Amino acid sequence: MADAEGESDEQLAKLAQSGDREAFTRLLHSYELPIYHLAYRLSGDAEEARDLTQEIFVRAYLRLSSYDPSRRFFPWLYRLGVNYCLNQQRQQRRQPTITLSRLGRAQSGEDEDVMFDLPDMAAGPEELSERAEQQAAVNAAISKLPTDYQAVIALRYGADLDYAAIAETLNLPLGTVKTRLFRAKESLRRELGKGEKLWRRLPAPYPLTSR
Amino acid sequence: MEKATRTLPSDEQVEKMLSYRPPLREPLALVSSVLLVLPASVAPTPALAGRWRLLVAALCALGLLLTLVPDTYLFNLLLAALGDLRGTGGNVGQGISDWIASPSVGSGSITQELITQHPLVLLGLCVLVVGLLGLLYQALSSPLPRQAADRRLAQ
Repeated sequence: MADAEGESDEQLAKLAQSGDREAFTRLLHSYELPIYHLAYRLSGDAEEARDLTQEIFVRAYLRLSSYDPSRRFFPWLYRLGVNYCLNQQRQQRRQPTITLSRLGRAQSGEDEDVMFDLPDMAAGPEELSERAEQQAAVNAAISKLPTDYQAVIALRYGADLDYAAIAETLNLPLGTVKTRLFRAKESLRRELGKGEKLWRRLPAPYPLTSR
Repeated sequence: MEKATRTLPSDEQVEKMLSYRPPLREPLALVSSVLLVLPASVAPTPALAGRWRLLVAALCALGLLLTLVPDTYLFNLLLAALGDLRGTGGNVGQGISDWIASPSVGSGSITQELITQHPLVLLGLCVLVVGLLGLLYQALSSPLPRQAADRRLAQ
């Protein structure tokens, strides 16, 4: 991926390694959205995903020296993001906590997970509520998957990577990625089939594009 | 009895649900909040850090080599010390307790004995000490990313 000024991510990362903060800022602009969506798929909460995104970039900056500029930049960053989110998830399971933003929303009765974050502002309140319920069910189903499956789901549907890019990010053979994605989706189908049939009504809010 | 049937979402429906991506509110605020917590100076570049690590490792290796390989004095002394500990006495060279009782050089100073009879061992020891100090400096000055980031985020 090259940014607006024509420099590749690898060149920008190399500049950032030598102390160029502007180069890192440009990387941050390029990757904030896919990293945010990746974090959202792994955390299931938009506000938490925002905090995770911030943490991931801080860690990326502090660990830039471990990045090898002769390799592609995005697998390094996504790998760091996936590992960080999954570690946080593990820690939360051991010591359950609630974020301040979530607590505030819960106290004011607004904790419908994604109510604030829905993109389609023209949708009516009923549709917004249904969508929120649907996403809450999807997030709950994802959280029940093994972490290997969560990682491929987050990279495919959060960061919007294709199979080859996921394989490169996770250092896995292409076939393994395809198998994991297939099995993960099968598990999700079964899990979502247990609850209310929320999937019957709603169209996809965003079309999928491949990086 | 009526057989219970369960409807599952299709693959396409699952994909549609998964394709939801919440918009990022105030992206600029996120960027500036990240930049705010970044340290003023970046971590050392890999080339520099790698060279530094290599230099320290080379110093330690050279020190060990000079101390133990060309001259068996220190090695013998270590073996003797082990012998003393076991109470069997040193098999090789002079035992530590023997050496203290009757040092091979008149003054009884180990430094003098090293200077006069085993200068290479002394040089090796000096290089080893410098290498170990370098190692210590490296360990103490390396950043602790997790704690540092947490502290900055808490501010």
